[in-house]
Amino acid sequence: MGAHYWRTAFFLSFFIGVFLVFPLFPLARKLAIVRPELLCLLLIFWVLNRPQQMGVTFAFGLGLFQDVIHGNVWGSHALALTVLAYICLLSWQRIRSYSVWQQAMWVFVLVGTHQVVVSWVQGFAGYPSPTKLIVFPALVSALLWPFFSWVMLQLQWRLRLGT
Amino acid sequence: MGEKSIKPIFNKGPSLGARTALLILAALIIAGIYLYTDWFSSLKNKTTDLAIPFHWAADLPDRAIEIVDTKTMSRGRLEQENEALRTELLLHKRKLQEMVSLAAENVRLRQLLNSRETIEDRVLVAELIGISPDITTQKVIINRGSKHGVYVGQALLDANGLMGQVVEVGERSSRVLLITDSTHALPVQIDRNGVRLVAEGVGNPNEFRLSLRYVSNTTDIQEGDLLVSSGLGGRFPEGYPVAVVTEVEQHSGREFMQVWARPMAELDRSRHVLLVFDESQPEEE
Repeated sequence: MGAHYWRTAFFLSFFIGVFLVFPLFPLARKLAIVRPELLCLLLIFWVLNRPQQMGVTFAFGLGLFQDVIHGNVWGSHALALTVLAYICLLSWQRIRSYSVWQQAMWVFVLVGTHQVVVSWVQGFAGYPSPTKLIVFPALVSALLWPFFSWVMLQLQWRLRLGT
Repeated sequence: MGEKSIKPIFNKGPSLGARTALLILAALIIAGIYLYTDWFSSLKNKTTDLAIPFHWAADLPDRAIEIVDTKTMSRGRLEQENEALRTELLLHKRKLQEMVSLAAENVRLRQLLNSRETIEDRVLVAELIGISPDITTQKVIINRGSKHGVYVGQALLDANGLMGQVVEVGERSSRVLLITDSTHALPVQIDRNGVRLVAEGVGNPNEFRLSLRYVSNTTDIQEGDLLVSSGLGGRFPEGYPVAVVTEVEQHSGREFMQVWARPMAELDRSRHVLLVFDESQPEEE
């Protein structure tokens, strides 16, 4: 529990806070569909870089918190992020050795899975799940991945997080 | 930047697969309880307020623009706006005078008919502080809660018509389900002839629309008809404008017509809204 630990905890919760606020920015409904799933990207990044620190339990808690804050069906994002973290934990050794665009393709699949799981649970409440709602966020998140991972790597390095 | 801890060969505790399976089960149970029981209802109300700081932060850019806008508004524009508002006020005052005599006449007629007088509804002004991030769900969050007497099932209006009903009440904020959400339906009637119908939300992310269910081919309904709340469900007060019929499609082969309506309330624009206290209805909870 050194200074490193607390600094990492502080910045991690800061990013989580910002990424939870991000979907709440009022946007035109037509634009809102291309909003990237930043929380997913953060989780993927963290699992790939610090697989020992980031587990499925954390992903579950994070998802549940997101559900409560955003007023979704409770458990929908908890389930989706748990699945996401599980797949990442099974395959981080492989993904880490990929080139960044190969990683982006993998991110597309991961975020797509996340969207499918979320809309599956939301579907029980009677909500429609149009295909574009699954494809577009996944696509935008994948295209953002190279930039996102670069920025996060820089931050991790500069702020000496998680070492 | 080397990893300090080497991954142990023999993991302690349950395996990753077992933990994941357990958490997936937990998530599904939580979702099941949330969807099919009301065991979470008090917890839901308690956690509503947790969202306030997040919505507040998300609203900062908008607020900043607004402040800059008012600070830099020119005197000429202010005067112009002032004049326009004065004219509007005059128009409304004239209408109000008309209303006084109409209300009196209405009371007299009702007395003639021996029906109870309609009680004037008490209202509370609220402000929208956020919208639901998921575009398939149409919920908004307002800055009034149980502290101000808000209750579950209360109707929300804007200046033009009915917006939705309160579904979760926190201490200082509540969540409102809009009438266009795909899980929402409300009883309405056509203002022109009193035909009763059910207006269902479509939940289309791109436009706010209502679909009217079970309109038989012989129903007298046309484009431009005003739909008002009928008060039959016991949830919404009677007589508030809900929507205007925009499209009537008649399919000769089918039993029912497909009728679309556009909500009167500006669901994506209104910031200041009204909560109606329905005096005739016993308060829940």
